[in-house]
Amino acid sequence: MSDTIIKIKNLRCEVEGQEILKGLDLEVKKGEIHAIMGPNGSGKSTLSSVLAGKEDYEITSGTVDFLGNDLLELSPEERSWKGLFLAFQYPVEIPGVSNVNFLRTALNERNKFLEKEQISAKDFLAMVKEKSELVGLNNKLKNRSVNEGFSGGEKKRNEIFQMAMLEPKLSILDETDSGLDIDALKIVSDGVNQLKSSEKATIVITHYQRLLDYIVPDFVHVLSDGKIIKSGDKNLALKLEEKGYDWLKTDVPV
Amino acid sequence: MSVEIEFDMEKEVLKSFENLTQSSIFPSNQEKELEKLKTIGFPNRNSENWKYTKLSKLYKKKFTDPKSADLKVFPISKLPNISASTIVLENGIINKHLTCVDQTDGLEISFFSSNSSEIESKINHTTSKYEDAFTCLNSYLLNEGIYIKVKKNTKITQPIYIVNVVTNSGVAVNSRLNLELEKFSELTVLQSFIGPNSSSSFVNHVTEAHLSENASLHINKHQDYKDVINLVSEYIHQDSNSSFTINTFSYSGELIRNGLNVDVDGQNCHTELNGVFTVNNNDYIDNHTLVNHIQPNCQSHENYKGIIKDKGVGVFNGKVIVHKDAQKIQAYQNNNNILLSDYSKIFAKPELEIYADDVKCSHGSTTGQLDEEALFYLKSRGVSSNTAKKLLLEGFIGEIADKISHQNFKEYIIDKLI
Ligand SMILES: Nc1ncnc2c1ncn2[C@@H]1O[C@H](COP(=O)(O)OP(=O)(O)O)[C@@H](O)[C@H]1O
Ligand SMILES: [Mg+2]
Repeated sequence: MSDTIIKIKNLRCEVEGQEILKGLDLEVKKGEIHAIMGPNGSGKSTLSSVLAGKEDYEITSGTVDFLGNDLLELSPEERSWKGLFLAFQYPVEIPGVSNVNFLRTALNERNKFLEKEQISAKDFLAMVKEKSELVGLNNKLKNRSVNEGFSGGEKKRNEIFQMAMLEPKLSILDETDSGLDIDALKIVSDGVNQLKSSEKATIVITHYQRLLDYIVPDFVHVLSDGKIIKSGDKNLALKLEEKGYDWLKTDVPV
Repeated sequence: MSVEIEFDMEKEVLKSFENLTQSSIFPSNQEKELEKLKTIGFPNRNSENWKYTKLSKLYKKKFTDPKSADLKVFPISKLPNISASTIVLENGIINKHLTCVDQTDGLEISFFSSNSSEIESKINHTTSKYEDAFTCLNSYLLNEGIYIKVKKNTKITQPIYIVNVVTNSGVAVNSRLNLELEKFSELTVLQSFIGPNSSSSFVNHVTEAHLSENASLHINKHQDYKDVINLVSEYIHQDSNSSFTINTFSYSGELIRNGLNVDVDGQNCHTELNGVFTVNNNDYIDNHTLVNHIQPNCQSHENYKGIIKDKGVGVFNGKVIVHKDAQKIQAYQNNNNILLSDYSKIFAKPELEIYADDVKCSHGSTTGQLDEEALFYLKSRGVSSNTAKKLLLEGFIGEIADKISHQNFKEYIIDKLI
């Protein structure tokens, strides 16, 4: 079997007639951590939304292969069932829908799709306990409505908690660090690092280098105006921190 | 568009019911009620309170006398399993096989048909000032009624479950429930209006309740008829320190209209009106409520949620009147609606009429679609599209469904509402 988890080729998308992703290429293999950095508005969240299956975007060209599937043909829930996870930059509040109840539903629907057994109440609770400890999610928050009244940091922890519960093959973390103080950042990064495995991969989207002190990437890519304009190792992030993005824009290879 | 019905309204409308006039259990009353009915007149589309209600649906139909219909055995097992005294009114007739009432001290239950002379004087005390045509029609054609009295200081812990089932098509049922709660008494009533094979029937029900000082009445009611026109008029009178709660769940019926009127005529009363209505197909569900704050120092809370699907039409019209001397009233009213299709409609009108100056009142109404962001969030976590919608709708009605303390009843209802 191939080592590739996701392979994005020449991906272009539009929203309301405006092109946002303008021919993006990216390949992520098992065991790897990729960081995507780039200025505000460069298309980072758009990329994650498109990969997760949000319908607002029109894909005008390109292909995405995810573990041998044509990702763009799948519904958002099928993408999840096959192992894709997106931790949102702005997790929504869902009044009246219990955090753990919906997760149990999600797990069971996935298991049904994969023709696996339903998870027992006991196993589920044990799992909730283990994973919430991993990310330091307050006990009370688990049973509350999804994200309702959570602080910014609590919402991000809840995202990582859900990630831990769903055990995805590819996790995309969209600015999970924004809005976190340094302690929370450490806990969240610890969580991510503990979930790291040779079979899985992570894409970390951020525009601060500081997260990458905790989650050390194998590759760093710079996204600018809808394209990856530079790739390198973790030192690229340090250079970006020091010099900003502008130095890149002048020597973009044509 | 107003092609107004230019004919003798009363005469024509009454034709719909002409086959039924023999069925009243108060025959001596009929002439008087008919006169009253003619004076009041049936509402039409020019009547402010009925302007959205397609009453022509009712006026066009002809109904048969339920007594001439066959009594079929209604599969009561289909109803939620609740340990309660159960009274089953089938096509307007007490079904003795399915009715089972626990005898308890301080609780008196009787049927109008077996005690008509005594009961006649006990009804219509709260209704007359409202001059409602269908309430008059109900008195005029009354098939059966249930009278329940809870004596002073009696707290009935087990609910009384009243099932108003229609098992025939094309019948008209006029039924009543009269509740008399003496001082410091307590009662919970569950009410099912149900009919799986009830097409083209008409159920015109009237509930009257009198809550004496410090009494407490709780009603959970649901409406689930197939292709029936179901009018329910409720008249509640509260004396001081009494507490009244009604939760109304409506989800199936060609045309449902609830007219709920509460006179809060004593101090320190608690009044709570909640409801969820889910409108499917071409159905129409209308909740008209009126809370009359006549005395000071009371609180009323109202919360209705509408889910409108397909080509359904929903109406919420909630009115609170705070009379001149009713100071220190707190009256809160809320209504939220979700439209699930491009063709669904809601007419929402919260109204406050305040004649006192020292009051705390608020009202609000919102209408929107299912939150797309929330749907995407759930789906991206592996909840299938249909389940995600259900979860969101369950969340939407949750705060009201949670008010039902009978778990079986609650689950049964939630399942139907979403
Ligand atoms: N749903 C949308 N509708 C309109 N414009 C959008 C939408 N999503 C993204 N954009 C636009 O696309 C560009 C990229 O946005 P985004 O992907 O959020 O950038 P980043 O995450 O890198 O800050 C911005 O100019 C933004 O305004
Ligand atoms: Mg972003």
